[in-house]
Amino acid sequence: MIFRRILVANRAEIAVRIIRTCRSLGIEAVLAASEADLDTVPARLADRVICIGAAHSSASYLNADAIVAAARTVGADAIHPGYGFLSENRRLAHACAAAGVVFIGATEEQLAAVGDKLTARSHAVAAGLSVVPGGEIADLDRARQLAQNIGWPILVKAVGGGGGQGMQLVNEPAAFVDTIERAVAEAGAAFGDSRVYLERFVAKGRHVEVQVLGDGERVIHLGDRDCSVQRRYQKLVEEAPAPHLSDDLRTSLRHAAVVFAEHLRYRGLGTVEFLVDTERSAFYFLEMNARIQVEHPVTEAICGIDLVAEQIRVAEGRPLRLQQSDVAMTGHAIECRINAEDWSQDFRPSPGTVTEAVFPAGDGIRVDTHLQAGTVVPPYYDSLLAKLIVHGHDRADALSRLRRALDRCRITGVATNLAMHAELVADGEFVRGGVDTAWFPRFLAGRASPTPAHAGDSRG
Amino acid sequence: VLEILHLLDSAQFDELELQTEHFHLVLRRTEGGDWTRSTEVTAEPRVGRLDDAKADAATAAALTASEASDGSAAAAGEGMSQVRAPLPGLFYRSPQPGAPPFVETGSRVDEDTVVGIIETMKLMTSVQAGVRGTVDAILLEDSRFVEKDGVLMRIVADSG
Repeated sequence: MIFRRILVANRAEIAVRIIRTCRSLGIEAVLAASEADLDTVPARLADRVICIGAAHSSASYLNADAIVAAARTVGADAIHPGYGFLSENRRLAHACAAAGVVFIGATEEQLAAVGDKLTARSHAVAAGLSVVPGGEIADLDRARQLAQNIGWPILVKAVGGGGGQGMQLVNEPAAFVDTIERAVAEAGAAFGDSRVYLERFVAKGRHVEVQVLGDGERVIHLGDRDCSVQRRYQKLVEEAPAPHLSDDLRTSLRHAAVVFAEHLRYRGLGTVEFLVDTERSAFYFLEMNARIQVEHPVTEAICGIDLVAEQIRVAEGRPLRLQQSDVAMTGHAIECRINAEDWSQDFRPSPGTVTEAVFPAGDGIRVDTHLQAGTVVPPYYDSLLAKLIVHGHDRADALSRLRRALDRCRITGVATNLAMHAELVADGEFVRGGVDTAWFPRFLAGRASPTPAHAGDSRG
Repeated sequence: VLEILHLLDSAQFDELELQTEHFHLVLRRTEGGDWTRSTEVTAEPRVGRLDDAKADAATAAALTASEASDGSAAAAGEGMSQVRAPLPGLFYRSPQPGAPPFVETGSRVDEDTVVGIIETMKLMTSVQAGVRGTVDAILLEDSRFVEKDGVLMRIVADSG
């Protein structure tokens, strides 16, 4: 089936991004928007806009029935869910199938396989991948036994958690039982699923992920990305390829990701996440994200491939256009997530109205954003304002472009973390490359007092 | 845009402004020679509605209506303290949906008693009473939107 019209069921920069590819493919793009998003840049770029509910996402972007009804109302052939919201939601995939609309994403079966962390772990084991030492907890006695085998410290994780939610660190046996009981209670309340499991806590870990693309028969990878610069499990800077990995390790990571996706007979665009233990020079499967990711542009930069276009193509039921040997990677790309957060005030969110939005332009520079002067940044959704992506001949060249590009960003009206990025990309350890996930908190703590960034002027 | 920039680089221009029916683009050369751009999409959105979106619209109206319930309705009297929203967002009275509220009218509170949560951009910020006393009135219903500094509740401070 060739799509003529796609319903874009998302907002902000990713909606703009998807609409752009629809345009280039000659597909009509209809935006499904909440009451709060009817006069935004993606709404202005879309061929049409359909209102799917109130501002709060539970009434709109998380309302599968309203989204499917919107697709039927406008006669869309397919729904692109973007990332977040319902992008990996089985119920939406199922409702789409029932309504005869294509869900641009993984199959219901695959969403089930990777959506539950324990199921994903067992699939990884079945596919021959290493997982972080750990396992499910049946009862306290077995949990104690398991903890002995894993070694301290240990992470207690909720099966239904994700994005840093539902995780507790236990440093010593004395606190173990209390933490498990609390974790079970909290997991039940927060995710409606009280199952928890144990994992070894890897102190010196890097977060490296591999982009994969499958058509249900064949899977290729599009290289790796490093996303180790995180604050409270939220990524801030991503780069491709992951710096300073040995050739062996890189090849093994990419191979493992393809093997895992092949095991699922994966169809669509996906990312296999790994924890790279820099002390042991080993890597473990963490999870798979069955959707387009925020950081996809760094992969697009080094591969020269439009991932959304490939995703749509596969969703149309067509075979992969590319062989693995067609994928050539050149140079190095880095992305900074520019958020409406005042980093001088403990990253306090800063909704408001943008008065000025100036971005860099030139060779090797890409800005994905939904901002322009007058854009309202509502308090209902996440704080991502723009992604600045630079592509250089090598990492040093990318860094130098990035510094100059950050200097030219000017967003006023809301507080941003631009000043944080400017300091971060000048930090010695970051410049050397290959930092682990413990680096960013250390970088923050090492700064005596951040220079105040005023809401009125947050020049980078 | 890149091609335009290459063209401009080979010329003496430092600024280009382009206005069409759908967008407005300004390219400027900075002192270092690098370029900046600012774009404005001026096309008007073409908005349609779902037939059954009326109920949702009503919910939205209810949500925005509560924005009006800010400080004006809650004048502070003698020994009366107001708890204000530290930032704009949705006000929650309980730690989780279905859980009992943090406080009710008549609850005793200390300075650091958590009396509610504000959700802004997916971040939960707890709101503390700020004063030792008794909750006199809760002025905003659960899950309602509040502006920064909007009054959430009144507390009668203990004297002395």
